Amino acid sequence: MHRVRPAPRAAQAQPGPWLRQDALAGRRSRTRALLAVLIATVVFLAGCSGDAEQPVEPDATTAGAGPRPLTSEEAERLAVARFRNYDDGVREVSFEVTDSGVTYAVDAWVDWVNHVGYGAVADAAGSESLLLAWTPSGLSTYPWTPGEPAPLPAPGLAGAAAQEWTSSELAPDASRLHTLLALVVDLGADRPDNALLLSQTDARWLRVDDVDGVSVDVIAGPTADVVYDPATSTAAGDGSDATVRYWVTDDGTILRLEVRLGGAGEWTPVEFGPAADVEFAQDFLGGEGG
Amino acid sequence: MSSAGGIRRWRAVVSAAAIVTVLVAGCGSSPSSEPTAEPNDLVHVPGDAATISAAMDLVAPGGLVLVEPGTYAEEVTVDVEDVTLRGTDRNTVVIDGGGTRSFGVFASADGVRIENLTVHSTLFYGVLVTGLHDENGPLAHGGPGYTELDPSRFPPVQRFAIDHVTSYNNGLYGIYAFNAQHGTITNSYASGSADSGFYVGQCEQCDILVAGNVAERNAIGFENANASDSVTIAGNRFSHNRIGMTLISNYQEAFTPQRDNLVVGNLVSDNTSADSPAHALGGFGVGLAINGGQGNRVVANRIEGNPVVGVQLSNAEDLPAVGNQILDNIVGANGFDLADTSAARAPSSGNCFDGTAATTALPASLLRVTCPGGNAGEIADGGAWPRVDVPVGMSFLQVPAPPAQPSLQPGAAVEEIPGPLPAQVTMPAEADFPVPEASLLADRSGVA
Repeated sequence: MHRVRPAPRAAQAQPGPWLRQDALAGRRSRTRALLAVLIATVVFLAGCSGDAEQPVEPDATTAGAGPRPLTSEEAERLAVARFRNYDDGVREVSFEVTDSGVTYAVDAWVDWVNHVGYGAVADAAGSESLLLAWTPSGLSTYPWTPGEPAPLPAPGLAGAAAQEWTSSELAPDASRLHTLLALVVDLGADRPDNALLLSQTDARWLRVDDVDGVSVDVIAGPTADVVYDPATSTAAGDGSDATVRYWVTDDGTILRLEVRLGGAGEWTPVEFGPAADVEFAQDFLGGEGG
Repeated sequence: MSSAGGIRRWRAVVSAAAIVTVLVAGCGSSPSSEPTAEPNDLVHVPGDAATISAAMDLVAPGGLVLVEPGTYAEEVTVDVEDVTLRGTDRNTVVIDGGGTRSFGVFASADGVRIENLTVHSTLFYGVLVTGLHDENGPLAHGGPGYTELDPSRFPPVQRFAIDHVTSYNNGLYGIYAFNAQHGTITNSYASGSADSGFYVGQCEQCDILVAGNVAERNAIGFENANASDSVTIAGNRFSHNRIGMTLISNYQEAFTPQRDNLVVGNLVSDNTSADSPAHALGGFGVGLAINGGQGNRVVANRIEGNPVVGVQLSNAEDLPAVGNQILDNIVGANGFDLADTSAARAPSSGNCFDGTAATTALPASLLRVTCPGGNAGEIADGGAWPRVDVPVGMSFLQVPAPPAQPSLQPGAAVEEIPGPLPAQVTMPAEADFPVPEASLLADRSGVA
């Protein structure tokens, strides 16, 4: 068994490299979680570093300016956002994030059926690049040519080159880059979230916007997977303490999200796009047992 | 109840949206969709109303909405008492959720019949009957009042009949009745549900019959959560799902524990579907699971070829599986034919297995338990539990569509307006259902 290739899907809990089937099976077997669950790592990271309040500023030029609670229709759209990713299977995901003083640009695909991502990461200067593949629990990297997009199929999955893939645990509580990787790979679900419960959380509609000409609504995600009660909650109730904001289309497709990562509370945008014919998960997950 | 006006208002908004869609799509003749002074006993769609929702504004209590072949992109709320919603052809009268709408048909009034049509690609429910709703529609999972249902605030819907309905690729449930009594779900088909194909839940003295249906390619074929007393599940084909059927007690819903159903003459075999949504907890290869259910009679079923377990007893939190009688079934070629996986927290007891020629059991002592009497709650060694390869699930919108299903009463009878449904369901006799052949209802299956 070489390092990056995991045990096959059929195998039972084989120890070893990062793409462990038991971890994936556990990920698949979760009951339908609300959107709040996937931001837990973000909250944690933000909490450690003394998050500064950043009030949401609704766009006063639009009718019914937010922030305000979600209508049932908006809650339903947010409730299907992760399912839309799953139903699409694979989409393109790109973002830039500054981690420990270095700005990284990630241009990748995420497969939400198989819970795996793959792409290229480069520093802002364009002097260093790596391929990366990740799951909710692990990350592997491979040396790569700066400026070159990630190739399909991924290189080095057989033969001597496999030694160049190196693996580690994903560490979202220690790294902003890892936080974002963990968040986006978890942004899929095989069924809708609970729209009714979502409408009762502190998720808030903020404003309308457009992304590349497509009309979207901007919605602050919930801070917790619970009914919001202003009498007892410590949450602000106006979306200002949300750590994820969603730009969603009429059918609930996410075109952009912004994540607030610790420190000064700046928002990191993540862009989403189609990738209908891209397949890579089986190169990393499937096939033989190594 | 004060919400009736609200419901109608809400539906009117949906109707208006549907009409706009129809007009924009150029479909047409734009017949009147405004309520008239004289409600009608028979309303044709699209002849008298462009949409099914608009027809619901025209039809009189006790009347018939008869829908011609076509694709109807709408959510239909049936809130007029004793109304029948019927398609002229089961396979070509299609309510299409488009992967965006929440439900296909929602019945909130007493005495509703839903017949001879197809619903697919909704995000939550294909066909839903419930008394639990507000002005925004049904209050299903997670809503206020769901855990502790207050019957005075949300009285159960009375008298319903769902017959010859096909429901596929709906996000949670295909055909779903909860907080409802005195109803029948018959001769219907459900596939591609990420939760269960058929679901009956949250009722006491339910008086509900589920008979002659096919569920396949679902995470669970049939699920009962907290539906008790007079529930009969008879002569159904619950094969080729991930889990065939479950009787469960669930604290997230009202009326625990589940108890006293009759499960007779069903085929619950080969629940190994790969072209289905994953079960939320990874379940696979299971025939019938009784999870904290009590006092159920499981008689004359055929339960074969389920690679994990044929009949499984377990606890639901502190609610044990108690007093279930497993009688005269044919079981075989299951991982274990019988298993009790109850935790020490709530050991099972008083469950018995007579005339069911099981050859494998966990613990093995179940093979020697007879009726009356029953088991004493020996805790099984979990290390022997079968390990199977669970295929990755698929999007419920991408599950293969079912084959054409038989229609109801072809010919002139399709325009007959039926009389009101009776106050009580006429239940079939247990003896009417011998152990079925493995071919039961196979002609309706897309898998067999």
